[in-house]
Amino acid sequence: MRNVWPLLRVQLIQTWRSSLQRMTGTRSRLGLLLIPLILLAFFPLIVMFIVAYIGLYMGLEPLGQAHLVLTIALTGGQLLCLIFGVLYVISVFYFSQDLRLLIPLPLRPGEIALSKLMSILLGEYLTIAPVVLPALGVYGVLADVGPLYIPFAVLIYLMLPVVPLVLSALFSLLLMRITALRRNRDLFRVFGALVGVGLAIVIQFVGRFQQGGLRVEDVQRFVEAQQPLVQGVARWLVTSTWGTQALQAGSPALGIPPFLLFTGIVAVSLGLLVAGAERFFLGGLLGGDEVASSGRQVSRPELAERTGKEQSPLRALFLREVRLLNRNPTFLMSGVITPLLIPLFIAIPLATGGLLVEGIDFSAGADLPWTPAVLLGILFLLNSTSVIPSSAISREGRWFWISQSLPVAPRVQIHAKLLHSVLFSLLNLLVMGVVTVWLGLGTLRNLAVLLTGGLLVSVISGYSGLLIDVLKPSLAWTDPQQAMKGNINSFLAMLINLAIVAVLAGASVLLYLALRPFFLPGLLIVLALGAWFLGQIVGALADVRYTQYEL
Amino acid sequence: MIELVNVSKSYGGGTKKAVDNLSLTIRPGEIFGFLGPNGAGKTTTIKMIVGLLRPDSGTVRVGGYDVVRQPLEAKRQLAYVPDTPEVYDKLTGLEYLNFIADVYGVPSGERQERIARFADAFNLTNALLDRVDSYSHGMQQKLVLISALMRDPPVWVLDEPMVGLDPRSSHQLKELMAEHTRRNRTLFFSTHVLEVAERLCDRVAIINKGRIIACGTLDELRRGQTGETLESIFLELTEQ
Ligand SMILES: Nc1ncnc2c1ncn2[C@@H]1O[C@H](COP(=O)(O)OP(=O)(O)OP(=O)(O)O)[C@@H](O)[C@H]1O
Ligand SMILES: [Mg+2]
Repeated sequence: MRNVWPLLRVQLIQTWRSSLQRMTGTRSRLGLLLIPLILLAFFPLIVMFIVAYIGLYMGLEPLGQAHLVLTIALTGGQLLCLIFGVLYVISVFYFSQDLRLLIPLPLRPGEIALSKLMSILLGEYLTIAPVVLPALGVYGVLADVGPLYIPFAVLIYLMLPVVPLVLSALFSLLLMRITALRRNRDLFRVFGALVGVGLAIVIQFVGRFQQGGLRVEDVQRFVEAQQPLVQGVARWLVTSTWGTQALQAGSPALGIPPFLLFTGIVAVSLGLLVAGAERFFLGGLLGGDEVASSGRQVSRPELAERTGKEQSPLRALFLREVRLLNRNPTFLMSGVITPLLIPLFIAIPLATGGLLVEGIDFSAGADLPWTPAVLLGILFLLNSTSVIPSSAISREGRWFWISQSLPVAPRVQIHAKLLHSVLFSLLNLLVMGVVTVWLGLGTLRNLAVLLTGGLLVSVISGYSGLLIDVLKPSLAWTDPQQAMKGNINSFLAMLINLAIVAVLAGASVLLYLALRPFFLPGLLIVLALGAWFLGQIVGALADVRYTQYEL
Repeated sequence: MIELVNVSKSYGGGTKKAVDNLSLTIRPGEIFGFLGPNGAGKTTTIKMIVGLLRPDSGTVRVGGYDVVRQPLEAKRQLAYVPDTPEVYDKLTGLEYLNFIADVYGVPSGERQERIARFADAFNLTNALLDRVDSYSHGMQQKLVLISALMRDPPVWVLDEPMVGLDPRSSHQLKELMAEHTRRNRTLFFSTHVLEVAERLCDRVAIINKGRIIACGTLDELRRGQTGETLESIFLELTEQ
C-alpha cells in the first residue's frame, strides 16, 4: 500500500489545482471574490443548522437525551455520504480519464481504490460540513464535555465519511463487476446505481415513520415520536452511536473505548474496501473502455439509408445534446437524480406515515389565488437543483473546439441547450402536476397556470444555469464528474435561482396588491418578460464568450 | 483566400509572444505549406485563422471576411482539421458526419454521395456505424477529414494532417489536396514532413519563434541559401 500516497497526491493536484486555477485564474481575478461569496452563501444555512441544533438541545436536555443532537448530526452526515457516494464512487472509480494511465502501472487495485476513495473523501468533508460541524460546536459549547472532546470531535469528523463511502464503494464494485460483460452496460449501470440510491433511502424510511406523525409543535414530542427513527438509523450506521458515546463521555476512561471501536470499524471498512477492490475492481473495469464495434460490412445502400435527411441546425444541435448526455453514464446520473429522488423523498414519508396530509385538507385551498403561484415557486426550486443547464457548456470539455468552429451563432447553440434543459424540467413539471392532483388541487385553473407558468419557470431556471456556465465554463476536465458535481457552477446557479425566486415572490406580492383580479395573468406575463429578458442577456453573453475561451 | 495582417498573439496575458506581428497572404488555388520547429507558433496561427483564438492585434480575413467581426461568414468558408482531432466519443462516426452536415446545411443528396465516396477512399465505411470511442487515433483523424471534405468549402486549413495516417490514407489525402486546388480552392497546412511540402506546395513559409523567417516558392527560398533541398534550407534558416 505504499503507492497510495503518491497516487493520492497526483489525484489531488489534478482535481484541486484545476478548480483552484479556474477560480483564481490569471485571466480573471474575479474568481477570488467568489470565495467569500460562497462562504457567505453557506452562512444562512449554517446559522439555520446552529439554531435548529440549539433548539433540539434545549428540548432534549430535560429528558437527559441531549447527546441525540450528536447522533442525529453524525447520522445525517453519513446518510448524505451514503446517498451521493454511489454516484460519486462509480464515476471516480470507473469513468475517470486517468484510469487508462493508472492501470498499466504496477499498482495493486486496492491501492488505486484507496487513493481514489481518499480523494472523494476530501469532497465529502465539504458536503457534510454544514450538517455536522454546527452540531459538534453546539454540543461542545452547551454540554459539559470532557477534556478529549475537541480532539475526538476533529478525528471523528475526519473519519465520519469513510464507512458510508466504503459501503457505497462496495456496492459499486459489485454492480460494476456484475454488469461488466453486458450489452447496454452503461444503461444498466445508471439504473443499477439509481436503484441502489433508492434502496438506501427506502431502507431509511420504511417502518420508521410508522411510529407516529411528525409534529413540530414541541421539540419534546417530536423527539419522543422520532426516537425510533434516529435510533434505528443510528443502529444501522453503528458508527454514529459509538461516535456519540465517545464525544459525550465526561472522562477519558468512558470516551476512549467507543472511540477505539469507531476507529476500528473505520479501519475494518478500509480493509474491506481493499479486499473488495482486489477481487472485483479490475473485473468491473475490464472492457470499461471497450465499446461494442460491430465489425461487419456496411453496404452502400445501408450507409445511404442511415445517412440522415437534412434537418435544421437547431434540431441537429439539440439532438447532439441529447445523445451526448444520454450516452454518458456520469452525466445522465447527475442529470436525472433530482427529478427522481425528490419525489421519492416526498413520497416515502407521505406514503408510510401520513406525515402532513392527516387532518389537513388541501383541497379547500384549491381556489385561492396564491395556490398556483406557490406551486410554481416549488417547481422553480425543484428546477434550480438541476445540473443540466449549469454544466451545459462545461460538459463539452475538450470537444468544445467543434462548437467554436461551427458556423452557427453561439446564441443559437445556447438555445439548443436551453431546450435540452427544459426537457428535463418537464420531468419536474410532471411530478408537480401529479402531486397537485393528488393533493386535490387539480382544478382547471391551477393546472393551466402550472402548465404555462411551469414552462416559463423552466425556461428561466434554464437560462440562469446557462448564464453561469457561459460566463465561466469548466472545459478542462479529465473526469466527467468534474464537469458536473465538481463544477462550482451548479452551486452558483442554485444561488442565482434562489435570488430569482425571492425577486419573483416579491413581484408577486406587489402584483397581488396592485391588480388582484388579474393577479395570475399578470404573474404569467411577468414570467414571460423575465424569460425573454434573460434570454437576451444569455444570448448576447454567449456571442461574446464563445470566442474568448482558449482551450 | 486567407489574409493575415500584423497578427500577434501571446498566451495567458503573458509577455512571450507565440506569434509576433505576422503577415501572410494565401491566394486562391494555392497549396501553402507552413513549416517551423516545435513550438514555433504554427498551431497558434492556425487557430487564429479558424477563429478558435482571438489575435491580440492585427486582422485575419478568410475569403474576404474578418474572422473577428464576421465570424459566421468566415467559418462557412473554411474547413479545419486540428492536429489532435477529438470527436465526441459517444456519437457514432455517421452521427457526427450528419451533425456537421446539418449544421453546415449540406443537402441530403450530396451528403450521401460524398460520405460514401470519402469513407471509401479512407477505408472507414465499415466503422461509420460504430461509436467514436472505438476508433483508433488515425480513424478519428480520417473522420474529421471526411467531415471537412464533404462540405467542399473554398478554404482548407489542416494542422499536420499526415500525422497518424497510414501510407494509403496519406497518399489518398495528398491526391485530394491536389484535386482541391485544381478547382481553384485554397489549402493551408502545417507539416514537419519536408518532402511532402516540397512535392505538394506552391509556396511555403517557415516560422520560427513566432516570426516568418522565409516565405515564397521553393526557387525563391533557394536563392541566397547554400542548400538545395528544403531540408537543408530549413536547417540553415532555423539554426540557433
Ligand atoms: N495553451 C497554451 N498556453 C500557453 N502557451 C501555449 C499554449 N499553446 C501553445 N503555447 C506556446 O505557444 C508557442 C507556440 O506554440 P504552437 O502550438 O503554436 O507551436 P507549433 O508550431 O504548432 O509546434 P508543434 O510543431 O510542436 O506543433 C509555444 O512556445 C508554446 O509553448
Ligand atoms: Mg502544432
